[in-house]
Amino acid sequence: MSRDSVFWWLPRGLLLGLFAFFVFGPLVNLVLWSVAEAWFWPNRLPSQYGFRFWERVFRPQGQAMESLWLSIWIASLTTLLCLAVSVPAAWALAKARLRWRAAILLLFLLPQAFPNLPVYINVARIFFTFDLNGTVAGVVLVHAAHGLVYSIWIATAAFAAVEEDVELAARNMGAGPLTAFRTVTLPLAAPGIAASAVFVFLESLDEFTASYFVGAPEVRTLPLLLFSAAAGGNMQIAAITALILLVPSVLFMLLVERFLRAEVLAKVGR
Amino acid sequence: MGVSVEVEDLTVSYGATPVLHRVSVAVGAGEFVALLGPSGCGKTTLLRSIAGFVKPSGGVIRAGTRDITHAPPERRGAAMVFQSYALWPHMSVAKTIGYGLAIRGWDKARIAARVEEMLRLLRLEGLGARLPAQLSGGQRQRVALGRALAVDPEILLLDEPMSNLDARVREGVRHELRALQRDLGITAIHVTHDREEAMILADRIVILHEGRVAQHGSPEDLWARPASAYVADFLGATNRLPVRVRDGMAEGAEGEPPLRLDPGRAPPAGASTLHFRPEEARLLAPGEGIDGLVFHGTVALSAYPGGRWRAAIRVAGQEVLVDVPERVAQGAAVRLGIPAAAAHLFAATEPQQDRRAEVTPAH
Repeated sequence: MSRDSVFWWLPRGLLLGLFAFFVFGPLVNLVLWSVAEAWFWPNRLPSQYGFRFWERVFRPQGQAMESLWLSIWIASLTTLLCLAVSVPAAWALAKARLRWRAAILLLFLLPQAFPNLPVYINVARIFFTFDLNGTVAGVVLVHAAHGLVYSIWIATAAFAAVEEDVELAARNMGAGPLTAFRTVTLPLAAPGIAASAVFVFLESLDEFTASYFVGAPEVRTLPLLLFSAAAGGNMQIAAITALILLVPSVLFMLLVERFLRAEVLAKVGR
Repeated sequence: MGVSVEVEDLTVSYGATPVLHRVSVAVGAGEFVALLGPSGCGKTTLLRSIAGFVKPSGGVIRAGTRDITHAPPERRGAAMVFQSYALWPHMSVAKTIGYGLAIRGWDKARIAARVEEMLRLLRLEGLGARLPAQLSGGQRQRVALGRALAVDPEILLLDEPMSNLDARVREGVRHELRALQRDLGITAIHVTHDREEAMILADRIVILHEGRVAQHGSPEDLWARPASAYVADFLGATNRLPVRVRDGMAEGAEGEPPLRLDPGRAPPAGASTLHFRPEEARLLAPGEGIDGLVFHGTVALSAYPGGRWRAAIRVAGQEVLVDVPERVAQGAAVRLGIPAAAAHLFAATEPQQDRRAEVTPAH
């Protein structure tokens, strides 16, 4: 069958179109909603376009911007906390015997095995006794517990990918254990660690369930704002919030793609 | 200037597996010693114990008068060139060579001057800004050597540094390395499985076998007087023939005169095995005598590897290789002569050799 034939390109074109629709359809809907000033049933398309809602969101006293900065602040703290734990832990784990390493890595995965909802409701109850509910610290803590899985797994792989001889060569040249770690091991593991940090940051930025039970209503992160806007029928604000949340995700995904080499990925979980 | 290195009764185990059994090696200041043996003989473990990368379970390591058995790697005064080179992928050549100096707190200008000197010495001029990935294998090897030499170490440890170079480059690097080590007066310990490399480079060779020292001595000494069948085999005496020893005499073929053995080196009476090198045996003319052992055989095959012919001779059911100046006809009956100096005899202790000795007609 020739490539010019209708039977060759039509099914392929249709399939590709369908695929594109699944990926980009929801996005297009979001963009439409964000610029729709009036969109009532049964209209297929908005009857009035404009940037009124964008203006409202980006207004200096607008809640959305405040939530955005709060979300970024929480995500940054979460990332720092995760790195502070995962870098030394992953370094130690990468050196540990393989059997122990596998067991400990599995342990970190365990919280993910349970359904989120009961876990977070319980966390909220426990946090209540410590006065952590509705505080940034509380939200950061639950986000970090969740993010540690990524950061430890990926950072362990990054450290395991650094050859032992390379570190020993630094010791051999007169560097103490800490200097060797700082000048050789850490720079070589840095791309993997940076990738893990990006994952943690994005997870925290998008996180809803834990934020809802531990943080709401005092701590209003962007996903919480999105939820209340959508639940309240304010589709425009919800759409714009979602689009804002999309920006760091796309940016960081591009970064990760550059950072995370195949050798590192191949060692994840080993 | 180099210092002496003494290893005494060193024992190392990996888990439950013993790797070195009470190994003792003494290296003089400024001496070049090669640790020679096949893979798994423990030579790299010995080197890494001296570097401080492996913890011994027993024994003592001394550098000069200092006991370094339990010193951390950074406090041993030993610089190592790794088999993999272990260069740092994120560091430029200049940074790599200057690393040890920066650790020692040298100021920038002095480091730069020293790095420049090392680059010149190792013919790496103009490559200071390159990363390891942008270098050829030979250049990487020289950077690894430069990093080790820059700190003016007392002891230089070389872990098969030439195994990743192609044969052509290797030849040149050997002579350079030897000249450098002599000029700088560093004590060098070199691990290799390459017999020729060890012979060319080293003042003294230590041959290891299954975690024990099989023999040590100068290259000439080892070549002429291997102490065991293992050493003889490793040093090229790969031909083996069964021989009987009686009253300090070794008997070759029937009807040929026996060889009186040097009393110091003679194996005990009974079945023993003769080891010799293909290039040290020769075919004898009819009636020609030799101060050595003579065997009767037939030519099984002749091949020409270049320069001389190499003949496979069948003697008493075994094949041995001999270098001959001219082609010999296949099937021809020949007399094979092994000069006394080239005949290395060892008691046939291995079971297979015992069995072989039993089937010989002389038994």
